[in-house]
Amino acid sequence: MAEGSAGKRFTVSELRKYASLAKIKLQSSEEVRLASELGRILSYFEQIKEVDTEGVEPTYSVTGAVNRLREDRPGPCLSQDEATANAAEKERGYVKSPKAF
Amino acid sequence: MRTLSAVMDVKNGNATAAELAARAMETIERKEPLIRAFITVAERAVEAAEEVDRKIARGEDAGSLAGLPIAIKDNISVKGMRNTCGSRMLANYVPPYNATVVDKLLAQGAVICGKTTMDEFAMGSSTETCFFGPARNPWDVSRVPGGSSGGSAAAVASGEVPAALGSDTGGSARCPAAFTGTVGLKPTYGRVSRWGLVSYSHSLEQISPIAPDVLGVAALLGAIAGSDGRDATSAEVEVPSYVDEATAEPGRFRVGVVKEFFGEGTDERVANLVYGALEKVKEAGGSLEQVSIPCLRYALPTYYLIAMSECSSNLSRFDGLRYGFHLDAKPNEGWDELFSRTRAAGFGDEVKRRIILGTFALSAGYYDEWFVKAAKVRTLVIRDFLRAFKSFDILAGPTMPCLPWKVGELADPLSVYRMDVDTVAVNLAGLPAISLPAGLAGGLPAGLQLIGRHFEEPFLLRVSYAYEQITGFPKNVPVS
Repeated sequence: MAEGSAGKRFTVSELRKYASLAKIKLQSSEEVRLASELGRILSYFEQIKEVDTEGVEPTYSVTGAVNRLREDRPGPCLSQDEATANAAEKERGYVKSPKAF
Repeated sequence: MRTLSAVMDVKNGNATAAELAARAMETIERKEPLIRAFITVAERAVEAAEEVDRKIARGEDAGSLAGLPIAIKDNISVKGMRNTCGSRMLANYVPPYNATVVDKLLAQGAVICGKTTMDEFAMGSSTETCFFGPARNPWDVSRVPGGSSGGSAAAVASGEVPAALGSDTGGSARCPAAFTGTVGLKPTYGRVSRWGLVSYSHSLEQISPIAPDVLGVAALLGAIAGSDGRDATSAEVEVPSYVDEATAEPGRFRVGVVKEFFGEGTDERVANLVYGALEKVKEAGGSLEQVSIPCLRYALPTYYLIAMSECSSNLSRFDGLRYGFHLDAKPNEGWDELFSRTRAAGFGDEVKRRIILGTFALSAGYYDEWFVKAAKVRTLVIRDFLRAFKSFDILAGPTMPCLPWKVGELADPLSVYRMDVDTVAVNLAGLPAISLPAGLAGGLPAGLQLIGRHFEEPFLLRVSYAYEQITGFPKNVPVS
């Protein structure tokens, strides 16, 4: 991995790329500060690379539980009115979205 | 007031639930201008308590917590009560359903007094990232109460309510318990259903009780624990009577005093208080021996990488359309632009930092290097803990390396992260851990942290209760 891209620094253009993937439109006034903060945080995180993890399996969940299945039975659930009560824009009981096409 | 004294008062007819609720609401009204523990105060707490009283009058079983006034962290859904998560994003969001723990508390007769101040989406250790402003430490209102469940702990410490629920992802219940001289218990991962808890880092977090004393958290845990069909990670493990368990003798036990928890950066005053507290644990039947768990020095970056990665995924649901902060679309504006504007305006700085770094750590090209690497180190942390638990029944150290700081004192994000150094490893391993009052330094509380084996809350509570009997907390009362 190229030095400076992943590790020591987080450039403004990288910041823009990941902010855009995360759907957060940053103000240009906050970009320099954020990039430098994130760069310093990443440099600190870098120390985990010292750890020898050869042959170690990753842990994503501590319970060890695998797919817990149940029968697909209808039960009580929210009404359409309740489920859409918090939506700002509605039309005929549906949530209104911006133009998709 | 101790949690169970409130319950006993109602049970023995010394007070009605309505009187307790009215007293809590009056105390809240009086103390809130200073403490700011609540984002939302319940409007109908006394009416809800009257319903409990009617149940008792009819001779019905009103539940194990009948009449107990309780505060709920503002990321745990209470039907019809606004649930902000301390964020502008959810400032007006009203959940149409109860979290499982809330249903369970109500079934046991608890009375909800309001929703408490927290760091935005539980991301912080002081409540300072809360959109509505921080809560204050009842021992010194110029200082933070800890976080992220700082409002819950401050509400208990200031005597506004005798019990509260928080959540603990990397120390968020134990840190404010330590900072406010209260008791905070992070249960084993899977012990308590997370249904209705607004998700931040799903593999790490547990809803966690905060109370003035050990029996308080024991009673609350007994009420909220158990398997839940709505949370596939909740465990099918029997729920004992934690109050009965807590009062049983712990017998002789082995305590591993974790060397890494007293590392560089630990305030000497805190270390001294904790060493003093450990002497009391010894009196309670523990034999003390130092143990080194070398992997713990990597726990902090490992925790943050996992928490940030999971949060970037969990917080992707906030789009401002179905619920939450909403901006009107500009003419011809598409999904991407509208969402990106909404999320930029709805989230605060700390949330943005974590989402963006998490997105980076999960992105193609960096996934193995950062996220998977952290998940592998997590395996090693778990392994090291399990190895230590072969020689010890309890692991111990300070909850926080420092005393509560002044509001605004820690401006740099990394310096705040560093304060979580002693709490996060427990979440990586899914272990139960409790923070107990260790005494005061310069009038400010510090916490003793005890860690138990998976699902061994009963033993952890026994040791904690025995310790409490010797030290006699909660005798100290904060100044405000």
